[in-house]
Amino acid sequence: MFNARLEKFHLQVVWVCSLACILIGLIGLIGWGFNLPSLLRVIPNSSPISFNAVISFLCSGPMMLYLCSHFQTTTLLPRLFGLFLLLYNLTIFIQIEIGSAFQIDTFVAHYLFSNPLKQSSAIASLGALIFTGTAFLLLPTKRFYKWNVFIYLLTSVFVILIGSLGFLSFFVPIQATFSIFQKSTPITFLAATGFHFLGIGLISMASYVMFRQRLFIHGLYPIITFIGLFIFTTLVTYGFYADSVHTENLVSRSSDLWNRPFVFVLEISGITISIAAGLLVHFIERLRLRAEQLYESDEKFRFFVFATNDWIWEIDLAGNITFSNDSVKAIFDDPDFDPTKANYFDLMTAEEQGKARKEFQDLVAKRQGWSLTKRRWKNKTGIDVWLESCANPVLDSAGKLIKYRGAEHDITQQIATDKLKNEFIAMVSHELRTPLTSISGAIALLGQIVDSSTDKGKQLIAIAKSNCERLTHIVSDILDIEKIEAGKITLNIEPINVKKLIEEVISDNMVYARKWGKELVFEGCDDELTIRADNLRVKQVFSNLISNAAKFSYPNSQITIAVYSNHNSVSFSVKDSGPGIPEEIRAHLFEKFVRAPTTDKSGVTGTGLGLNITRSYIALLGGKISLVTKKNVGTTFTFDLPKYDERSNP
Amino acid sequence: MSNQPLRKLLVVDDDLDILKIVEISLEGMTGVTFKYCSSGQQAIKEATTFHPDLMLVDIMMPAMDGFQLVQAIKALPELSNTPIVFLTAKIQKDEIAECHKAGVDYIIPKPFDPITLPDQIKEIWEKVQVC
Repeated sequence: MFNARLEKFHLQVVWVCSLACILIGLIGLIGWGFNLPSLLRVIPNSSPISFNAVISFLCSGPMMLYLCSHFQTTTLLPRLFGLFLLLYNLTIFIQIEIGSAFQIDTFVAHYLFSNPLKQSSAIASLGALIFTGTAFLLLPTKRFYKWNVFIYLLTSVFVILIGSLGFLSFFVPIQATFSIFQKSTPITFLAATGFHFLGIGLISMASYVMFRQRLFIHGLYPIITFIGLFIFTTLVTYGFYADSVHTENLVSRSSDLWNRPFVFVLEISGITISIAAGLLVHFIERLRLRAEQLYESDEKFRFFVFATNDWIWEIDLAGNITFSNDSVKAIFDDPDFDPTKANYFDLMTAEEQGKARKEFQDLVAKRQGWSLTKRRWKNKTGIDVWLESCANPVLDSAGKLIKYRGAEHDITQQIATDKLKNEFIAMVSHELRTPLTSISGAIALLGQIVDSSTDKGKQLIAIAKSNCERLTHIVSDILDIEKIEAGKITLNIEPINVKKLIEEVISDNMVYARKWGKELVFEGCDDELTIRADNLRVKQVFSNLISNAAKFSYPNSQITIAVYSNHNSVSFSVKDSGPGIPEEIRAHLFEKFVRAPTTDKSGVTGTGLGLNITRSYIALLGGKISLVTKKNVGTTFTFDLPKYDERSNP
Repeated sequence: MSNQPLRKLLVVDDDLDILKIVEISLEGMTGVTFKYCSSGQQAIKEATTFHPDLMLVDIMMPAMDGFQLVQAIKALPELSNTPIVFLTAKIQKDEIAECHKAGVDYIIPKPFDPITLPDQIKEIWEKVQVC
């Protein structure tokens, strides 16, 4: 709790300081550009040298803001600021050198060195350059994290020291070592304040980083810092030196400098090193990013591999386990199990091992993986465990198969549940059918006896009989749905002559259709037309569609079956004349338990499962079903099935 | 096999209600003697003395199920050729295949229609004769 609050506080300090830096920079820039007299008195009094300091602050502020808000990745912004500072200093250097070489009083040279205060500019801009470099590197590793914080703190203290001296020199005349401050104009005050803010901000940042404890530093950090400090020292020396010359005319002084090889070498070194440092920082930043990504992906990998209940493994081509997560211990019920000392195949049941090894050798030869393979294993207590596995071959850089990597999912429970479900379905099937057999048999026999007695009796028998049939249908439908959903439908695909099929369909369903007062009509088709399908299932599809058409059409109407031959398929349609399918159920027609109202007063029959089963069967047979319905005209269901092709199916 | 009329039919089902319905529905079959058993053991005992022409057998029965009964009957030399018809609720596709595997070619699915049951039996008897 304390840490969280402190962390928040530090972050706020960084924000305030950064904003202050930006503000100071802006004031300086405006004052310099527009020569504002009254409002910001300190600025107009300053020399143009403040421009340099102002730019530095303008860059440092956003950089710090960026750092505290965006601690993790994206690095474009600080890089841009760093680049700007680098180019800025480079421009100054070039202009001075050109000015001195060609005796030209360049723009920057004219303003920059027109006042003895230039050294504060040198300090400020170089300081900012170092901050930028430091800022790059501050973004986080665990290994050098303490070093990073230490150096950051040192830099911050240094910046505060400069600020404090400047501050002091504004009020007290200081001699000797810090003579630069003595000669300062009021602009120093602004720079000094700015440095103060920078220092405080940096210290807060360091503390913030410490609290966050998610640092990421590259090992080259100390070298970079050394280079930064070297540039800093070089340019400060240069500033001091230039100040000591006391020449008002820049050009002549520059020429003077030109003649002093030591300073020139220092200057060139400073610039070269700062460019190199910039590049190095860029390079390190990329390395850091990559390391961070690797670290993140490694962390992610560890999380997924060790969080899952599935067994994740790697095996060599002899089946020796070379990597495994800990889930294997739970799966095999053995907390002390060391999978890396085991052979993958030895863990299977005796009867499974031989088969699995052979299949594995075949797959190795073909360099293939496997998926959804169910195998029986044995746990520590000798109980069978069913695992479903998927694996992929792993190749080395030369393309040679070296190992397999895969995962096993424990399906023991699922297998047990499936078995129970199957037993339950078989039990329900038998247990429901047995009493149904007695009831329907008794009703049928009773019907014969009652036949000669009253109409009322006959009606009651008919009701009992039709409901018995309905119940029988429901049981069959539920069993069908169960089978389809469990994917346990076995199809017997064979060539089927369409004409013969439809004739059989009509003879099978004629009685039922007549019972509803409907006539089945077949428009005829080519004698040779043949489809590839499962005879039983296609007939069931027709029965479902015909029974729907019979129930949901006008009395004494026709149900027409038509056949169309397409290029690769044969389309079948079952058309009725009826009220059509109400719009509100049309979209859900193929879902389970959806029924349309019937056309007569006898009420609705059926489970609402028929069309669902129909669609599933057609899909299994490789076809599609669709319908066209028109209010008070009728409905046509059309489905297509693959045509039998002798060439492709010899 | 020569074309002989069906004379002796043995019906086996553990459900007494169904046995009764079968009995009533087959009442009209003239010239056929029926025996009704409610367990596999009883059926074996009865068959050895009754020597049925055809057996109508339920599959799901306690103690000895239809498959075991078929196996036992086929094992008896004097009964090994007796044609057997399953009268069963096990009519899923794979279950039917299982019946064929057990050597039973004819199945009358439950629920059956007692009105047409005599005709179905006659039809099967004719087919058996042809084979």
